[in-house]
Amino acid sequence: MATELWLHPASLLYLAAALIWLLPKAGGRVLAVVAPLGALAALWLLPGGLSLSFAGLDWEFWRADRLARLFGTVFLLAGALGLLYAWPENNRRIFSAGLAYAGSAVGATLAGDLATLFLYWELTALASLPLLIYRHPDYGLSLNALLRYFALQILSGLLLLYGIVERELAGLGLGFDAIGLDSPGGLWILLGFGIKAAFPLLHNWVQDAYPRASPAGTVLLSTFTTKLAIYVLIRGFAGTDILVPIGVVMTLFPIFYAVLENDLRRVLAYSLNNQLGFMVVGVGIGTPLALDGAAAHAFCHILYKSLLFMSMGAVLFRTGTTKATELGGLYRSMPWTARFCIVGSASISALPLLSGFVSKSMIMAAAVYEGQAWVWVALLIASAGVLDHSGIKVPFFAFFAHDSGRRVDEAPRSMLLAMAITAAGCILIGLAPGLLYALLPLGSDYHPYTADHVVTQMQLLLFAGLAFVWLFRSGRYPDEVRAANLDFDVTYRRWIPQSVLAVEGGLAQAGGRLGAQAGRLAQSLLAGWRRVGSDTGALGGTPAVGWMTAVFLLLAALVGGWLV
Amino acid sequence: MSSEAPKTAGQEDAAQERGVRLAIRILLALGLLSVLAEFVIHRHTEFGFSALPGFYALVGFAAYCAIVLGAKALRPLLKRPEDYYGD
Repeated sequence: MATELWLHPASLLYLAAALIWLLPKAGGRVLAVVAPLGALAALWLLPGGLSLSFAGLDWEFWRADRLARLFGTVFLLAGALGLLYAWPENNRRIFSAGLAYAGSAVGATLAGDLATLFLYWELTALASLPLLIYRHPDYGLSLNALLRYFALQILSGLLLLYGIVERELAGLGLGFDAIGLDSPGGLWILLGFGIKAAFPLLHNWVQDAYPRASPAGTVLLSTFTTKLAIYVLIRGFAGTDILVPIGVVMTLFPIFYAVLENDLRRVLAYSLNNQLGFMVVGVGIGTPLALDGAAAHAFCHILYKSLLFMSMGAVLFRTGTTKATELGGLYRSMPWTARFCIVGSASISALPLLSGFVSKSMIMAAAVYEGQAWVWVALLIASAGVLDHSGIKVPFFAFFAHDSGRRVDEAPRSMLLAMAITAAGCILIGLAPGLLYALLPLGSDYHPYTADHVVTQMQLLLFAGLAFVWLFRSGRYPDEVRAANLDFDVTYRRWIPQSVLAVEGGLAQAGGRLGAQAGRLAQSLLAGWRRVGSDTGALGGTPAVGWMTAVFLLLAALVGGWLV
Repeated sequence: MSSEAPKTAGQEDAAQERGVRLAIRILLALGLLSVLAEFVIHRHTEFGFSALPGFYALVGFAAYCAIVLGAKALRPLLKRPEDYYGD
């Protein structure tokens, strides 16, 4: 038994994460790349599952089926590449956290019961946190941003826990299979998953946190948490109708922000959100082709999104910024980074012969087979949007457009090697999609390279590209502008904290003038609230964190109440 | 010889502009080719409305313009100073 447990990929990676601190740095770097590959071997050698009863509950510590192995495989491949890319940063914290993060993500995909899933779910939140500790040349190190990120990750875990307890109390047990919205706890679990999947209005932690991390930090962050959420949605909520409109909104809403955003890594964070939308639609449609499509798209997306974040990370590493207003003309200095970026851009745009084409089309085809005309049209429109923000804007404003006059060195060799291998992966999947399809959980038989599919996709991309040419050359294309664009996070970063202060101020006045008992009572309540949550309070770093903390305490109390 | 003299910024810009124009012509030619190809191959139509020849070309061009110009129209509403949140 013990030897089997040691073969669990997560144990192997946690061990490596600890060893990083004991080894000399040169050895640690090698271990950081070798350990995920060792874990990949362990994943495929792992026996089917391990169940036992403990503490009155039925646990299934792992269940290595096709779906779990597919996600585990891409997590470990992308983990190894992201950690190779991290070599120039030469930072033990990144190597160690990256390994623990990868281990937690794989542990979660293997979890056969909801309690084990919850454990790893929280461990991914913990392990990812050190990756955000980075003194960004543009943003500095923001403790508030760190707390906001962590608060939302923990909130997601609490919602999951609340749902799990409801299920256990309803006698449904801990097994992690189809959950559905209508079963006890289903809504809470979906909301918990939805935070990490960046559902509309729950999405801003992605754009807030990811662009603040180091070059390698962002690459690793972009890989695990959100795609783990897609994995659990496939497992728990396949065919849940509400996911279709949720996914459609996700494909469209972030596009507008991606067009306006100046920081190219934040553009990619919005683009990530939009790609998750395609997968969520696939889960919502729920047919075998749609579910295989969502899984395949997650696999391809992890690779090309890593590649895009790697290329922009290399730009950050060399120039100290990824703001479009500060960049341009970098192809002269960083020609290979530019080429790899273009491979990533063409892949995400679903250009035939590259990876996005062979996976996104499965979801679109599934929408057609189910007669969902409007969903299909929305995804088509969103595809044109992808071509703009990730296909054209990112490479164009970084490497071409107006020459910024910056002359820097090409990216370090290990970064280039990581980009080269990732780009090769995108091309390989595009050329030989059968390699990926063979791993899909439901074994869909799909053929992306039919004459009409290639022709129609080329029409879409070429004419969208011509639209860019027309808009840009006629001066209609929006300029890059240094600005913050209001998104939903304005509510918890500005409006709620400000309105609390305003109400408090108003009550103080009312209390003073009228001497009313009620005014004083409300005032003292708010003063208590401030003591807990505000800048100077015990729990808060900012009013925003304070009120979030209050929400968590409330939720925690609810969960506690159920348990008792 | 004049060709060996260092190029002025103006000459370099002109050369670049010629390159860009050529690239645009190629893009245009490929676009037209992709529409014409539709009449040669057998195309499965997904829905009644998508049977229109050049449907994808139309959607690609129109959706791209709508997204970019729509975002541009939203900018005055959403734009705040870069340090709006202060962190």
